[in-house]
Amino acid sequence: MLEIRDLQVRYGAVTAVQAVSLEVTAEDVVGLIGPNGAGKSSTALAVAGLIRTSSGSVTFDGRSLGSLSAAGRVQAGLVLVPQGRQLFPSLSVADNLRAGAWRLHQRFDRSDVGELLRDFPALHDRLEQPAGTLSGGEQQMLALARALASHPRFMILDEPSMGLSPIMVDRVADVIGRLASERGMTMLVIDQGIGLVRRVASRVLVMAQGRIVGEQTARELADQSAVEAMYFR
Amino acid sequence: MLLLQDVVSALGAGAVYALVALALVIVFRATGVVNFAAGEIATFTTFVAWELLADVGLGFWLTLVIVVGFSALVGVVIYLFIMHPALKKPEFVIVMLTFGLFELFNGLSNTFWDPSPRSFPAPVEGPPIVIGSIFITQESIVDGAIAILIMLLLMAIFRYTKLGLGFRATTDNRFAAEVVGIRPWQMYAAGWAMATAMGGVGGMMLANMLGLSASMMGNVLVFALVAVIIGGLESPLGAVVGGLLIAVVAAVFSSLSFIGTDLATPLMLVIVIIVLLVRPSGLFGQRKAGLL
Amino acid sequence: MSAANLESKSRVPAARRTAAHLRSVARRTWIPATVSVVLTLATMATTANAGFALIAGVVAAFLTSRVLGTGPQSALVGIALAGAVDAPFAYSAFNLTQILVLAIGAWGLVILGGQTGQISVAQGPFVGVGAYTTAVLSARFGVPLLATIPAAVVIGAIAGLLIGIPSSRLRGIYQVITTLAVAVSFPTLLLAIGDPVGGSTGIAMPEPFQAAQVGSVSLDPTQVMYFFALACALVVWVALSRIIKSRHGTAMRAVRQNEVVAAVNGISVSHYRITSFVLSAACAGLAGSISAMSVGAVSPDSFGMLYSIQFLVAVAVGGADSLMGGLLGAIAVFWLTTSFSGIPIGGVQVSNEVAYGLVIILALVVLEGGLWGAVSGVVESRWPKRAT
Repeated sequence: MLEIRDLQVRYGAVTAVQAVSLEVTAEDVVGLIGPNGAGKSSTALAVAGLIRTSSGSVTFDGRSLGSLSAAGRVQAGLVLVPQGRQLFPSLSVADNLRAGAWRLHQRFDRSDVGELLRDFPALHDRLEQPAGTLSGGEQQMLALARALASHPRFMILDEPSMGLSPIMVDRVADVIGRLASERGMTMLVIDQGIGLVRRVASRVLVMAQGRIVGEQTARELADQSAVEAMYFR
Repeated sequence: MLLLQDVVSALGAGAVYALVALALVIVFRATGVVNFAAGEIATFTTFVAWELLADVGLGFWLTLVIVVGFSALVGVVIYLFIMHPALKKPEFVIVMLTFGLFELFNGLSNTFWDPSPRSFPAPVEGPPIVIGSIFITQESIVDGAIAILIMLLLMAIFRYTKLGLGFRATTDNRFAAEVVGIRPWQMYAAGWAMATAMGGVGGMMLANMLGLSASMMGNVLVFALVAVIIGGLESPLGAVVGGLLIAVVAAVFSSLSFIGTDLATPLMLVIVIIVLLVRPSGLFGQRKAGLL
Repeated sequence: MSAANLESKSRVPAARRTAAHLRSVARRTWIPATVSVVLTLATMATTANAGFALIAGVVAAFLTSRVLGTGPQSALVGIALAGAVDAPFAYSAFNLTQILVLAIGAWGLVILGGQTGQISVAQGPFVGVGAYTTAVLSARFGVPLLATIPAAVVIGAIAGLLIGIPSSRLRGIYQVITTLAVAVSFPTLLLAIGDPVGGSTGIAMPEPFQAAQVGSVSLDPTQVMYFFALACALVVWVALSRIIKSRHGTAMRAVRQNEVVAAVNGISVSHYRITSFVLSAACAGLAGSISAMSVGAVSPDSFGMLYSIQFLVAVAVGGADSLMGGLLGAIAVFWLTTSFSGIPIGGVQVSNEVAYGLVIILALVVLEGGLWGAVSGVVESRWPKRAT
């Protein structure tokens, strides 16, 4: 469904993403891990259309995205759950969800909310609460739910485990797993460490210094040392 | 009773302050910018209205509709060509841009039209309504009604419509707005269009009250600013309440002989300072944390 | 010509030491400046030709800075001073004095805005306070004009303190609105006070200076006034530069960058914010005093919001980060607000306010760091580089 070829992202003189190529087939979950500064977030932002690429191509559903805007990509079914959640802090939970559904042409009302929050029971009771007052875990759930509101076919998750306690990471991993298994969502899950990614992804790419330096299948992930070797190459 | 009459008469002026204040609130809530040129742009569009009324001979309400549309267009053009390129600049620069717009529009008004005041028709003709010993002019009622209607319209837009959600989201977290597929420039342009349109209506009201001249918005701007300070930069309701309150307070001060009209403005300033020191976000604004 | 010429093979050790010493001494910007001023005046005195004098000064500035290696900025300062000293012989000294008034007021905003990051629309009133102090003291109490200057500065500073204490507690747009309200209220306040300050007609003052003869050059009163103002401006420049370069300047800029971080590092945010208001108002007071003396009259309407905007435009267009920017901005503002009586475009006499507004907008949208930012950037990149 998503194909990235030789993606390059530069911030002035600094090349954050060198020549990244990867593929995600429909209904698959692919992980992307790597240390700080590896260029994972830049890749995510570039694919989502939020920053410009200097070269390379991104193809979604066989169609080249070219310079399609972020708004256009959301419309096409490609949405980002950004690093650090990036919620609308003074807007209520409900309004955050409504904002997520911005690009939908049909009205977004109560029943849609119910359907949306099927996997997010904790948010049901907090619909009118300002998003900025939620706990870290609840915020991550809301960020996921907000992305779902646009009825995407492909979701990029950038560091969903950031700043969360191990219990919350488990819960988030559960939700992501359910999205994949029950809704058939295709995803690219980016994270710093292997913990969450290993539980949801069928294969994991390792990125360092702007390049993909290795790949592991789910089974191979069981062998920690191989991954570590790749990490610290 | 003289005092009460002053208060009632002042409500007409209050409606104008409220409209300009509303224009300020809209631009602020949609774009995060306070448009100090709001008054001058409104004066300019009111001159255009005068041309339509006097030279082309159109009726009042038709002119109003056309001017609202024209003002909205002016607002969009200002946004696209001036504010949008300067989006990422520091706050000081943005403030100065609106001062530049102030001079530009004041200059335009002075270029194309004679500076001496000219009369401007009212939305309705007819004798004042008398309640007891109080006279209320019909214009004041219409002006007040228009101001309140616009205020309600704005509140509804912000709270219930998709556009309003877009405004609120974009000013809350612009990056997140882009993430969900909102195009911030569209929100900003729409905000400017709405604000300038509102200013256009206020300008037509004021021209009727004071006579149309290039300097008619002189004091109004400050009163409108004070109104939004008191009411909070974020609140349409606060803007209207603030506008009416300011008008009434100014009228009361002016009628008290030991103060007189002269000192009304400086006294207003003192009030503003006190309000700001006690409640930095205004009476209706939301509390924001900050160093003092 | 380069310093290397000083090092000839037969006298290497002594020459090298002298050159090094000269270079370290010349690191101060003022040497090229002084040389250029002296040369300009000397040429003017001998040739009575303003053009030659200017050329002499510019060349002197350029050469001295190259020889001593003090860098492009020092040359520009030297050239600016040569121009400043030469100008009253080619242009109206009265206008030039007004430019200096604008500049000194703008420098106050450089401190307030460029250093501590605050915005004040009240600079007009502060200048007015200084102007009225001079006017009232001299016309009502017979104080000699020049003696009113310290009073104007002090009273300006006090006004700055009174307004600064509440204003510095406000941030961003609220500070703008409040200071704007001060600007709008000031003329009204003056009118309300009425007779003691001359009411709506204002106050008139006598000429502060008489014509003078310096060598073979005769100066008319406006030129003497100008040189006096120039001297005041230089004093202000040096004082403010010192402050900006001192640790107080660093503290102020820290406050501008991030108040929380500054506070955590032991910098008293409110102290610096208030002090910069006081300092800025003191500059304004001086500017006002000079303005009053040179114009010869004060009236309430001159010192309101539109006047305040002139100072803001000066730093916005010229660059708030440096004193030079403030000067350039002052020149720009003066030129924009006085030179046209209207520009004929297609049969319509377009008011110069339109040009003023357009220039403000264009300069802000297009330029980064104001005029001075753009100019010094270009000069830095084109300056002939020495191998170091």
